[in-house]
Amino acid sequence: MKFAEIKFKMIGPFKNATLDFSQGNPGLHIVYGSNEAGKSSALKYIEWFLFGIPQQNDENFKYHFKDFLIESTLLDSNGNTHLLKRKKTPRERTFVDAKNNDATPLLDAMLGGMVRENFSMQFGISHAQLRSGGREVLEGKGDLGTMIFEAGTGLANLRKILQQLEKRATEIYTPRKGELYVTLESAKQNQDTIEKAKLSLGTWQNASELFATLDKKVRDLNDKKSVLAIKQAECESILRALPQLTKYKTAESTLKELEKIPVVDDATLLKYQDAFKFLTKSNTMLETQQKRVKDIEYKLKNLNPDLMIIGIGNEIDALKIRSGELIKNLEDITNLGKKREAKENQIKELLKSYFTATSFDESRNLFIDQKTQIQIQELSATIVTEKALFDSTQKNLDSISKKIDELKQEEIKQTPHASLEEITSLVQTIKAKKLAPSDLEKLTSDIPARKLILEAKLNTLTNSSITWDAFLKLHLPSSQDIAGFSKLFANNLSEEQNLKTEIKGKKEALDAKQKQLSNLENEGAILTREELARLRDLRELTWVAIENLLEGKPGPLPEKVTAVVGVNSSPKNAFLNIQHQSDLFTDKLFTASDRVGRGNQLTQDMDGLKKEIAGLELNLEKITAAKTDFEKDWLNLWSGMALTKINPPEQMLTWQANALSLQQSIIELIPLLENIASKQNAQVIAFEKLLTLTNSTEIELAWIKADEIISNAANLELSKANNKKQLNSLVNDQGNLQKELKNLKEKQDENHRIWTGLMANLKLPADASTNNASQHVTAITNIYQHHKDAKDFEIRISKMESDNKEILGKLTKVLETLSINESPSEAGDIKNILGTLTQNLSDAKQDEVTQKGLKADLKNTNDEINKIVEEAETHKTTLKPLGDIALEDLTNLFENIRKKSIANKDHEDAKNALIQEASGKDIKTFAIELENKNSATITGELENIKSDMARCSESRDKELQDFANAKADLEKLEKQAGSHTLSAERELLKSQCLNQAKEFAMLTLAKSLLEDTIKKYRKNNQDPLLMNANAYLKTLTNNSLVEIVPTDADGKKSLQLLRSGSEDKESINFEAGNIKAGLGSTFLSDGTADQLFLALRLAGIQNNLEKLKEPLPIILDDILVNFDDNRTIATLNCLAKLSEKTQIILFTHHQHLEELIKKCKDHDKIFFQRMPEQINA
Amino acid sequence: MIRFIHAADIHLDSPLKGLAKRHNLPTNKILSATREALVNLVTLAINENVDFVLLAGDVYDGDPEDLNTNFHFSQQMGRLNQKNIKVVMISGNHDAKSKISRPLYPPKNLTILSAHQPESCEITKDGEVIAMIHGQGFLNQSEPRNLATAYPAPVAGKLNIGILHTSLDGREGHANYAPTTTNELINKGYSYWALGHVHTREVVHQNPYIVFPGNIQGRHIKETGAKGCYIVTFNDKREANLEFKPLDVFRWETITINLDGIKEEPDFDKKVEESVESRKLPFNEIPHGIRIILEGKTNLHPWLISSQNRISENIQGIFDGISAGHLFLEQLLVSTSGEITAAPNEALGEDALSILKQSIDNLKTSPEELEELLQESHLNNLNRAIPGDWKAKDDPNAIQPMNAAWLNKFLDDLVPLIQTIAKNEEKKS
Repeated sequence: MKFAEIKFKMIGPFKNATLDFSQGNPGLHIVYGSNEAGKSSALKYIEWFLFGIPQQNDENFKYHFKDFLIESTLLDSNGNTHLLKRKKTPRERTFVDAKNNDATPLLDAMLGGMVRENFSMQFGISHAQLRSGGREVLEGKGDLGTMIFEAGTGLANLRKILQQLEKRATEIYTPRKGELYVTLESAKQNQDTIEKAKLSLGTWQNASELFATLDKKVRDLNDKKSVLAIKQAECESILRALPQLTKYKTAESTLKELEKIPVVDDATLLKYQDAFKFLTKSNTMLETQQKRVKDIEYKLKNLNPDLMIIGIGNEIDALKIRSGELIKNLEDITNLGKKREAKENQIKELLKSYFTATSFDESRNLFIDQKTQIQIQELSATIVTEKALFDSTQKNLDSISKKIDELKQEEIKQTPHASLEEITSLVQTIKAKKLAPSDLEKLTSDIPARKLILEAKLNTLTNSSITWDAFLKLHLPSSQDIAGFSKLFANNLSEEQNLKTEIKGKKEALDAKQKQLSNLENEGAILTREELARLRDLRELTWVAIENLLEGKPGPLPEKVTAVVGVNSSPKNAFLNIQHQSDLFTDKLFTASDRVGRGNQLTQDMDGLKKEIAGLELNLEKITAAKTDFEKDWLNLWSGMALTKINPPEQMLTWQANALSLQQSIIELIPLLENIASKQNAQVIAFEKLLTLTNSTEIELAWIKADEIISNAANLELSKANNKKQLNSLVNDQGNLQKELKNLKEKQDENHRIWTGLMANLKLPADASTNNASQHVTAITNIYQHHKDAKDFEIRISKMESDNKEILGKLTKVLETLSINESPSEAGDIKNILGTLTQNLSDAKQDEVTQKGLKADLKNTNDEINKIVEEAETHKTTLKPLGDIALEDLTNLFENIRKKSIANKDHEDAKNALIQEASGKDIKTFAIELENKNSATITGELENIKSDMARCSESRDKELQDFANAKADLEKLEKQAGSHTLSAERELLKSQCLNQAKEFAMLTLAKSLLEDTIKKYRKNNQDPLLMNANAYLKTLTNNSLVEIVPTDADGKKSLQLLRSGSEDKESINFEAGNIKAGLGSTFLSDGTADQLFLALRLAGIQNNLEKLKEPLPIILDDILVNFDDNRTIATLNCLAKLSEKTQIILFTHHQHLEELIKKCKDHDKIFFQRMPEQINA
Repeated sequence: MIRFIHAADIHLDSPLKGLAKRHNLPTNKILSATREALVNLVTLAINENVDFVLLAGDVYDGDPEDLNTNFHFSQQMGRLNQKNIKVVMISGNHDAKSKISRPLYPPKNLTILSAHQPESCEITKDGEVIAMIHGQGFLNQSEPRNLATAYPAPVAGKLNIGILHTSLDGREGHANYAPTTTNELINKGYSYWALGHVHTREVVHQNPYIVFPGNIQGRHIKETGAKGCYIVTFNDKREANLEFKPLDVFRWETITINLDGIKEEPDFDKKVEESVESRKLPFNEIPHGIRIILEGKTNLHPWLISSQNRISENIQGIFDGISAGHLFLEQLLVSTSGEITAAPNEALGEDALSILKQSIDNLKTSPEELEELLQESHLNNLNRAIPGDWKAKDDPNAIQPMNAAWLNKFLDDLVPLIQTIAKNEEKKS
């Protein structure tokens, strides 16, 4: 069945909209419509046309149900055309042919029993249906699904086996994993260790050679050390032996000398010496002691103290007491007597003077009471004091009055000089201008001199003549400029000098060469080669002559030859002669050619020199030109300065500095010069005035006088002020004093009044002065007192005189007891007698003590004497062994004994020491050996040996350490385990590896074979439906995917999409129920999924088509949504191919399909049309 | 009476081959087996107080790469020197003079006979010459000349002994090693020929004695049985008495077991145990490495094929039970046969099985196809990872994962292997 045309007469949005499918056989028809173009409606209406318009629909928005009409022209498989109409009239027929007959049976036959649901499922594919239908297949639903998965069961089992194989194989080995890998790693490590463990010959030889070398070194050093040690010991022995030998010899000679001296040991000698010493001293000691005995005996004889000592003592004591008393009384009497007489004389004197001085009333009692006495004395004193005060006050007052008069007089005198003010102002003026006469003079004299100096300097400045003013205006160049030029000049100059020197040198060299050349030329004629040739020729001729001679053909010598050698010459002599000449000539020729050579060399050298000189001179010219340029610039620099000469910059620099300072000096001097004159004039006027004012004719004097005047005036003012002050104070004092004087007068009068009253009371003359009154009182009182004293003294003296008589009596009695007849008359006598007695007593006591001491001394001394005598006897016995040698000779003997003893000991010691050092030799031989040894040399030698030894030890220690290390290293090498165990171990690993490798190889082989088997098995057991699907998939994906491998293991359906030419590795795996690709697989895109579904659906359609009598058209709606252009083309090709079997109508909203169709292989089977317009469009 | 030791082929420090690592392996002995054997030799000489020792070549396995090998030999010779036991040796093909780069510093008791021409050496005892040793060592590894021909005539009145490293006549695969004939040796007129080179012990001839003592330590499964030396005693009548003394520290044996009619795994274990015990090996004295070869027709064949490693472990377990850790499985060789059939409904169905069989048949005849098949597999990676020397072509134990010949051995075993797994899978489901 094929739609030739379908016309939507009145339905939905269409009115008479026609789709034309008449072309193609049956063909692939593509209907393009943009979105909203009514594609879906058209699809729906086609279905309605085939299977009826549903009762319930909502399409009546344009037309009423009863007006719905779809017309279509169908072609059946027999090629017959049928125009058929589908309506929606409730009560009429809904499907009729052109004649309005019921066409339902006709259509049913064509549909072959296909109902609406199956048709849309199997032949109508929209994009959504494509997906849902595809998924159902993959899930094994429906016939199609069931069929696809049926073949997979056997494969699943094989895969399980494969998995097991893989699992075990992986356990054994994958790169970097597995048991076998571990074994191989161990083997690798083992191999590395083997290489390390091997002891190579080189290593061992190195180690053992090092060991041997170091061993030898250490031995050598040890030997060397031993040799040195022996040498050291020898040297040390010699050094020890040498002094011993000297000692030995000395001792030997000493012993020889002292042969006869006895040998005495030290202790004995000491004893002898002690005895000798004692005996020598003992006589003197005895004498001393005996003398002492005599002295003592004599002293004892003279000593005789008495028993009277005691008696005298007692009497003296008694006598002393009495005489003391007596003496005291006598003295007192004398004194008192004198005092009484003095008193009496005093009274007499007083009375006499008093009587004469006063008209003393004899009746008058000489007693005046004490109160009156005090009153008189006080008043008298007051009167006297007040009188003196009054007098002094009066005197002060007088002097003040006098001074006031003087001051007043002086004030009148003090009047300052009239011209002082004028002088002062003048001096101040002069001082303000700082023009003291001397300064001014100095200034005036200095300035012209300075100007002169500057002018002189200016004249010496340059060779130019410049005026003072012009000079001041002159602009000098800077030091930097000058220095710059200086450098240029210097360079230029030095270059010039250098060049000149060089040129000079070259010229000299040239001259020298020239001279040499001349000398050469003068050395004589140069010999020619022709001459040489001639000589050779001659030689040849002579030789021929000789040959002829030898051949027995004698003949005369050629003329040429005889010309040279003489006619009589023999051929031999001629030859020799010519040969000689030839030799000489050759020599000359060489000399000559040498000369020519030298000449040529000289000429060549000279040419070179000339060229060089020319070059240098050219340079010199350039430098001179440059110099001229510099000089021009230099002149420009100094322009404005009429310099007469261009000096070198160094000088000009100095000149410039001088000029600058000079300019400065002149500038400073100018104002001074300008001011000086006016100042001078003013000064003259001022000083003239000063001269007149000070009455001086000389300025110096006037100046000093002016100062004096000013200073005096100042002093005068000061004293005037002082005077005034003093005067005022004095006038004040005067007033005060006058007042005081008046008061004093009044007091005086009062006192005189009291005094007159008092005198009257005492019955003293009324006119008695105050002084007299007092004197009276005192005199009277004194006289009274003296009388009283004199009376007392008289009483006391008479009492003492009676006492004295009694004492003296007692004394006389004492003296009598002492048998001293002389009676003392005076106290002095008694004293003397007492003194003598006391002295006697003391002497007697002293003698007693002395006597006792002397007795003891005497005994001691006698003991001593005995002891000395006894000791002397012992010592004499000690010395007896020495025989009868006089005492005085013993000292000498002792000295010799000592010497011999020392010599003996030295001899023995030295001998022993030498024996020790001689090492077996007798001393004599040893001594001979030592004869030529020098201790200093040996010491030096010893030092060297010691340092050698230290070095030796040090290097040996170092080597010893190295040796120990080397030894340890060698031992370690020789004892190390060796690689053989490791190699053996490697064999173990190899066997292990072999076992594992075998198993692994089997598993791998089994795996590969099983995979192959699976492939083949699958091929053998594939469903035809799946084969079709595979063919479609391959076409649709442009051969990218070639095979669908469904697996149904344990009810879990999964799929593999195999890629072309590849194995499982690149396949896409996924679970059938979930089209998302599984882990580890390439991504299953939407496009690929659609292609997979489409392949399956097309295979299914193909399957169904084969079952139908009349092929039904396939209606596809937008199934290419997810297809790229290439796969779209592939799909269109595929559909075009299928459209040979049945009509295919494809609705699409992709306009570009129109273009793509052109690229299709079967584009002639594809027809493109657009959706007809809608009513409202 | 003259008493001496005749030994040869010490191959010092050559490793024992074929044993896989195991926890109770007597590693110390195995790692130093040849050294230990040499020590045993020296100890024997000292204990037996022999007059001298003859070493008939191949003291070293090659030029020793490790100087310690030389040291060890020197030390052992030193022990003999201390006892004044003279050693006369010649070089063999393995330690031919030109091969040895490291010179020996022989103790004074050691005489190495020249490799350039025959040399004779006197053996003295109490100042009297008691024997003359004649011999010549190998100069190069290959010695096609008959060296014995040039050996000097016997010295009259003395015990003459020839020492020679030779393949003798008719010893297969030994052509280049100083070949000679038994007759020639007999006719030389010596009393004893101390030969070396052939590792299997053999008294080739008596009166005169021509003797191979074999090597002193078996180094792999092909050198089975006790290994050691001969103590040779000549009485005053010049009559010889030979006494073999084992010196080895590890021994090799092969046990072949016929599994005809064995149907169950327990029966198999029992059979193995019986077979081993029946050999009555002296494992209490010396540890043994055993190769088990399984033969016969049994339906255990697929299991044996597919579970070799596991069965190996079982067998080692049986060994341990018997010997208390003195027997070690060197290798299990499964040479059994059995019918391969696919029962209906098995995991490996009839279709698949026939495909598989056909593939294997194809591969057997087409080594290129086999190698190509494995190009992409891990076997190729493994091949690259295997050390070169382990792949050596002439090595029977070589590991050559990409070599068709090597792989071919396993092809017949694949179907049993896959079938066994299939059966297991079936059991699981």
